[in-house]
Amino acid sequence: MNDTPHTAENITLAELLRAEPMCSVQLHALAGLDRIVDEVRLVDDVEQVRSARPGTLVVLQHDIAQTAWSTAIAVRYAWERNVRAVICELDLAAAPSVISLAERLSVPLGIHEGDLPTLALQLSAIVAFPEASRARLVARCAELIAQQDEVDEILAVVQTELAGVRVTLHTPSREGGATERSEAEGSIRVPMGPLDVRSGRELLATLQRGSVAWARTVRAVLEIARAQIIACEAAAQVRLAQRRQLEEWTLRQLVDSRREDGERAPDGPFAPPATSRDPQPSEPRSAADRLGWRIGPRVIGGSILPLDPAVAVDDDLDLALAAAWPQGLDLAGPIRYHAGWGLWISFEDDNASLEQTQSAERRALRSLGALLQRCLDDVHVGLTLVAGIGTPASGDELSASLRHAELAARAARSEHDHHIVTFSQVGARAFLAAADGPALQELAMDTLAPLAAAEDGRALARTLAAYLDCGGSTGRAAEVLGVHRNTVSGRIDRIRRLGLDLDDPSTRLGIHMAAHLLGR
Amino acid sequence: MTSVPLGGSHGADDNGDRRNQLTAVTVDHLDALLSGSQLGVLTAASTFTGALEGWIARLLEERGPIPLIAPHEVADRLGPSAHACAVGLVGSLAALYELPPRGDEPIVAVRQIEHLLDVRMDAVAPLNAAGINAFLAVAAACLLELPLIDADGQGQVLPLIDQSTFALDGLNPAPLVGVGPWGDVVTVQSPQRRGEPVERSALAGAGGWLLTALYPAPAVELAAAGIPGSLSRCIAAGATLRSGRGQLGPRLAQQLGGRMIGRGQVREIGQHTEPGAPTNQPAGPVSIRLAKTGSAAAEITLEVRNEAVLALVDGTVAGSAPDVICLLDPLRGRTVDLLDLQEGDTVDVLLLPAHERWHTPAGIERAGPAAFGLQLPYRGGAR
Repeated sequence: MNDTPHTAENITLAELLRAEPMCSVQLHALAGLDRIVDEVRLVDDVEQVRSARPGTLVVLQHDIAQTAWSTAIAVRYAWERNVRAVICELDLAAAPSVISLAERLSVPLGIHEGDLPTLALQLSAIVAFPEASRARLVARCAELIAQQDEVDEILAVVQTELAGVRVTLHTPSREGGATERSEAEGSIRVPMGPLDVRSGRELLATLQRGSVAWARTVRAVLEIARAQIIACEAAAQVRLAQRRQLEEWTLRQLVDSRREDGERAPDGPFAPPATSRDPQPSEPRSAADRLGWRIGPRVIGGSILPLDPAVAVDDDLDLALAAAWPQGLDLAGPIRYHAGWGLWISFEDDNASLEQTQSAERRALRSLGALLQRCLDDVHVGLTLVAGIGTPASGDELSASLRHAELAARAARSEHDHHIVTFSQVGARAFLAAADGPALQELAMDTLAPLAAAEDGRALARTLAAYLDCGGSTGRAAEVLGVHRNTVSGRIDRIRRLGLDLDDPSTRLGIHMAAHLLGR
Repeated sequence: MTSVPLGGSHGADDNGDRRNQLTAVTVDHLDALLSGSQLGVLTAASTFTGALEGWIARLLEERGPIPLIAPHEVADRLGPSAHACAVGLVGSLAALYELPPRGDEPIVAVRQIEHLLDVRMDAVAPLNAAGINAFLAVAAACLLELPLIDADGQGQVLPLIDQSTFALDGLNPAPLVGVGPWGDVVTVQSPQRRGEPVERSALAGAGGWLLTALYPAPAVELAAAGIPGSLSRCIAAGATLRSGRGQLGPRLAQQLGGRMIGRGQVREIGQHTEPGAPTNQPAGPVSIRLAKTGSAAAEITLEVRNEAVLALVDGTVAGSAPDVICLLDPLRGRTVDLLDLQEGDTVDVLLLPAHERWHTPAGIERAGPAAFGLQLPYRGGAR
């Protein structure tokens, strides 16, 4: 018996069983699913099954559809006549023996509780015009996919509507061998294309069985899904960027507006909080509340900067950091702030005694330090980052703490071993950090030009910095540097001989600063 | 269908292989008659006949032996103008056990028919030589002191009185006279051959059963229209059943010209509603599923409509009405009673082809699968 050749105008049993009218039919003894179904016949006499042509799908109706003996006879005839499947209407009590017979004879059996003639008519229409049925399936998928706005939901729709197809969105490996192997198994690949937010991804569908026409249908649905996935992910990116911008604006309003007020008292960061006499400061406050920021009662600010001062933080880098940042930390931020990112932790203070306040601050400093260390270890954005920790302050003084943190982070750039520096460790270098920049570097080079020419110019500069730090005491400088006192005095002599005047008060500060800058 | 005679009396035989034909029924044949009457009978069967057996034994002792006349001998033995009628119980066997007969019902019925037709009956024949009618016919013959014609109208237990070879041959069951447990006499005359529905409707009021004299006709015609040798075959089969030797099914198959469908263990006995089942049938449909022994997971399905009317082996029709499907218990060496059958019991299924009259189109229409609500053509059973 020759089967009809597989063309687009033919439909296999597998595809027919996946059609919509078959949703409410319980299927058993599935076999021969790759074979073509030529026609659908509705019969009310088992003898008609005996005279059915091979390639027919038989739907029983009336009495013979409801009794076990008649359905068993129909299944037997179906086996003898190469009928593709038999659909009946058995109830639960009668079904098991017939199902068992169908399984033994490998005759697909469907049990349907509804209107059998209508089912037969619908299946007949699909068998007569399979392309129309496929087009309907694609259209239904398009409609359902358009209603989804999450990638997981889109893939779920595809898997539900395309029965027997598994779909994943992934980045394929670059080995050519893997591709060849997969295609032999019956898979369809739809590359996500240049519009995808991440490059190189593809939609991979694995088909359990199917004709060429089915593969075409699956590909069409995947291409529709691809477009919606790209749209969803782009929308997600835009939302994320918008949120980052809002965070950046809100932080700037919160902390920098205090400076513009000019209400700050000149005696340090612990000035009394500004009165809320104008409505503008409360707007950033409510935005902060909406963002879920906790500020206070006590805060310690933190700062993250790229190690290389020449690197500018742009939107891409900001989104990359946001994506890579660990979730669930008890930490606000990181939020774009000046040349890098700001963040802070909030903590309680009983104010019971000075010791308790100080120990609370120390605890908070330690925990912030630990958090920052962990984040710098785990976050990879393609460049090295450094961090600084500011001073404990009240919630209203967050801006001061953030500024100190930023200075500390800039100082951390000059520390080879530690990527996190606390402001309290920075000392006088805070001024250098505040002023640091390319212009200052050039100035330092000019100031210590004679030293730069020397072979050990850097060592000389470090020695000079320590010597001036220690107020001209070679002994203490030697201790700090870990060398012999004579080494120190020898180097200082050489420096003087190279032409640097260390006794001129008008130049000494500059030389001192230059020595620090160049001694790194 | 050849008749297989049982030894005990002399008789002519055409074929040297055949044993002597049975020519009379004596009390010694009663046990075999009882057993043989239950072959191919499922729901009307009962192994407990109670007082009936004793009553018939006494009758046979007092008035027996009863001459058994082969159909081709009727003209010679009874004369060309002799009259005969069939006798049988119409109605429910259960009702008969609740309201047993007084013992004179056959006489009352036959006398009434004689009165109606102004003839004397010269012989009686069983309506069917199966089930209780096999020995009720013998009782009637004893009471009436008339010979029995060795022929019956059904060859099995069929529920309706017009499911008979008598009717196929054109005989009218009416005028018929039925006598009930309370002595009611129901006389039905029906030129339009509607004796079955009319008598059936009187059953409930009369007490559930009517011992009926029916198909009055010239004896020669009645004998020619019947299935020859039914009663003697029944006794012969009963003898085999009681022989206590093994291989009951195959031996009966050989003796009676049938074949084994198979052996299986009962998996399920189920009652179900069946759309399209005729409403004039007494009992509801029952399906019996057997796990066929010796074949990987094959199933034998029996459809029972009072009696077994269809046997399927994995969806292939292995036997159907009008042929007789018999269930035998190989372990207990006897026929199966549906009331006693349980899951796990082993059953042999035997197919006995019906008389060739039942295989005609008219016969199939009257007693084939369609008559029991099974929309199937009759194909004589596969393989």
